[in-house]
Amino acid sequence: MKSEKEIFQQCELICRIFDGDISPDDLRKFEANLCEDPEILNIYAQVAEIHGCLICPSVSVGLAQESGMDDDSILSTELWKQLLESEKTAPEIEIPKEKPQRELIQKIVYPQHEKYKMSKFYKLTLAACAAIVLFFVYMNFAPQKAYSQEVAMLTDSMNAKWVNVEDSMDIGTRLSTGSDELYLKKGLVGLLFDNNAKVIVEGPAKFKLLAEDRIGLRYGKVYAVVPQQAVGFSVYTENAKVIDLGTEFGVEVNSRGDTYLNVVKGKTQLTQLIAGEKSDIPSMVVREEMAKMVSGSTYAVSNICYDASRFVRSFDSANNDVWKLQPMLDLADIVSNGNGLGTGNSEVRLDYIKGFTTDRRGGETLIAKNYLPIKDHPFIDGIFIPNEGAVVSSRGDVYDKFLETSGVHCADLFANPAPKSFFVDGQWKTIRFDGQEYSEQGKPCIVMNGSNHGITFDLDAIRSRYNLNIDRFTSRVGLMDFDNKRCNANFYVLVDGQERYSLAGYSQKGVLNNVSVKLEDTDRFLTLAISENIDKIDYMANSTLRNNFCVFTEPVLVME
Amino acid sequence: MMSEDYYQNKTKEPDRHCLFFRLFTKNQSSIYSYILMLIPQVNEVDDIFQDVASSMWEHFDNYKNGTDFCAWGIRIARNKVIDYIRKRKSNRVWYSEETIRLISDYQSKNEINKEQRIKALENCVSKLSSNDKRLIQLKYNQKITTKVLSERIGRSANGLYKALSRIHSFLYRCIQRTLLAEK
Repeated sequence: MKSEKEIFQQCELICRIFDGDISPDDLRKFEANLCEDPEILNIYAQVAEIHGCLICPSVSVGLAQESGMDDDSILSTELWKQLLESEKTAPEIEIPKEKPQRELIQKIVYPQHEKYKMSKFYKLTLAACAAIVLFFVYMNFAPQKAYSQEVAMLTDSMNAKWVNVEDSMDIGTRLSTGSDELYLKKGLVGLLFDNNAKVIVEGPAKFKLLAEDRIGLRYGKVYAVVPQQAVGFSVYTENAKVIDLGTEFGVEVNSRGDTYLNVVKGKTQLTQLIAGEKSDIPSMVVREEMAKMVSGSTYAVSNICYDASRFVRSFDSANNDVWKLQPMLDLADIVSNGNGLGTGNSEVRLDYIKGFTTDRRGGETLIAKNYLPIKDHPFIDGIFIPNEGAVVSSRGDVYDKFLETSGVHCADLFANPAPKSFFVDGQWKTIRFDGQEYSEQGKPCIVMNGSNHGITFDLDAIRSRYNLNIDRFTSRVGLMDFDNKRCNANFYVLVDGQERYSLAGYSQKGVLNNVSVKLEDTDRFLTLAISENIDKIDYMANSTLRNNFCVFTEPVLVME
Repeated sequence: MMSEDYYQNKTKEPDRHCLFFRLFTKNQSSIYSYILMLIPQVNEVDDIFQDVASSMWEHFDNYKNGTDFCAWGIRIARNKVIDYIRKRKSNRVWYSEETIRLISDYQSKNEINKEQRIKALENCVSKLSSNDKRLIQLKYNQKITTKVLSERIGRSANGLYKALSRIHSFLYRCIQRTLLAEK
């Protein structure tokens, strides 16, 4: 029997093996032990099983519930437990007693009438009338609708225009199977099926709810997000069926009857495409970021380019937000007083004394030693000049690795400048890297001209506004190649005052450096900063302050 | 052109597809764990797992309803793994065929108690501290290696291995105790 210490050591070794963090020799030794010692094999299998249960989301092991994350499988388990409990305490249902059958008292015999003889013509006329009557009776009283069952709810609606819909289609409307085909002439609607599958229908579209786990699409676009308890959710078209096991995918049918399938998410889950007619049905797995097309005329299946922007993946009618690609927020747009989705104004600047302004300042050197909270924009916590021991957030986070700068700066902070905004060596210049323009007409950028600069974004405010998590910050940083003067700058990305990226003593112009910083739900403040890098604080003599044309290009928050 | 009849037919689809997905969902963690034991690198397991899942679907007609779906899936997985290793033989060190056989035999004998072990695991996870839960959630929800996790959260990889090992050894002992108590 292994001791606790031995078990611990084996677990560590196995964790390293599963991460590929082990040398070939050590793996060979472990393999030899595995074959000789049944207890090690048992530990190995158990740790592998734990890995499998934690990685495969279909198995609920109570993780997400404790953490507060929204794990559909956990909620499903809890829901069933609650239902079970309520069943135990539910009141008894009274079953009505059967009524006693009436007994036959007396059998009555009626005398037969003489039969009436009809002519042939009369018989035919009567038969025809009966047929007509029967036809009308059938049309009026035959069941017009198949068995109808409520299976979904309309959860959101944006600019939706319905055709031939009798009932109102307000948010909260319950939708049923068995009803007529629904025609959404334009706009977006969000549906939540009772099994928790979420579907966005983009008009123009004709569709029908077939069951609690399937939707038929005649034409138009649907985008489905299928959690684990909704596995098997299917989209049917004329020539294909898409069955899902916990992925996100979009299906489109065009006017020719071609079916397009884009699988957006689903690494260990499956999306199954079954295409063709009746008995001749090829079926295949379509993986994440892959796409297929089923021809409306030939039913042939072909590979097509995956198009991440083909489908609306989420929308919010209250805020008029529509997301096609993985949601991303442009921080340059926010610096221009925008909402991150392109509403900014490139005329706007951030002054380290005044805050947002449209005043253009000269190149004078000013001192701003204090952190300036920005109250005019919910997503910007504040701005500051990097300095030794500088406060980098309104909460008081301090980053003490900035070099001493005495708080001097010679330019405002701004983003997405107009082309030819920079007058250098007698010429008006535009920001370019590798032939790509960065301006209000080109790609976005935050300009940190004449280091030193610092800006802090409030991630919680962004999460609240868009009701999305933030996956990471990405950007490409560099020095503009405007002149031949010496430059020397430090680039920083901080999260809650902690350094997550730095590029120190950088002097290479015209080259962009990739930045990618993963962000957790608990991260609050994201800081981007540039500081002048000098050994001796004598900015008049040795300073590169004015020469550092620094830029954060394409600074985005990737949302999820 | 799709008619109303076409819509109606779609509500009466056979249960075969639903059956596959129900069985697959229930057994996928076992199949995944098995592949992980044979190809002990999380980064490679995903691709093989998808191949296995795909193959299981394509050959679902060969599966006899009522028989052991997991065992059937694992047989397919074993062939896929052997195929995978053969194609990449020279690239790195793999387990020998003898080891693969040993692991497969062990797996088939222990499949019986799987339900109890998973139930025991659920119970044992609930006993972890919130910090420990958070750690394994970060690692497993994001399916990242310990090194990548260490970079993201600013802790040393060695320290994280120690923490994860402590958690795994706790879960291992807890599951063993739970199973013993049930006997």
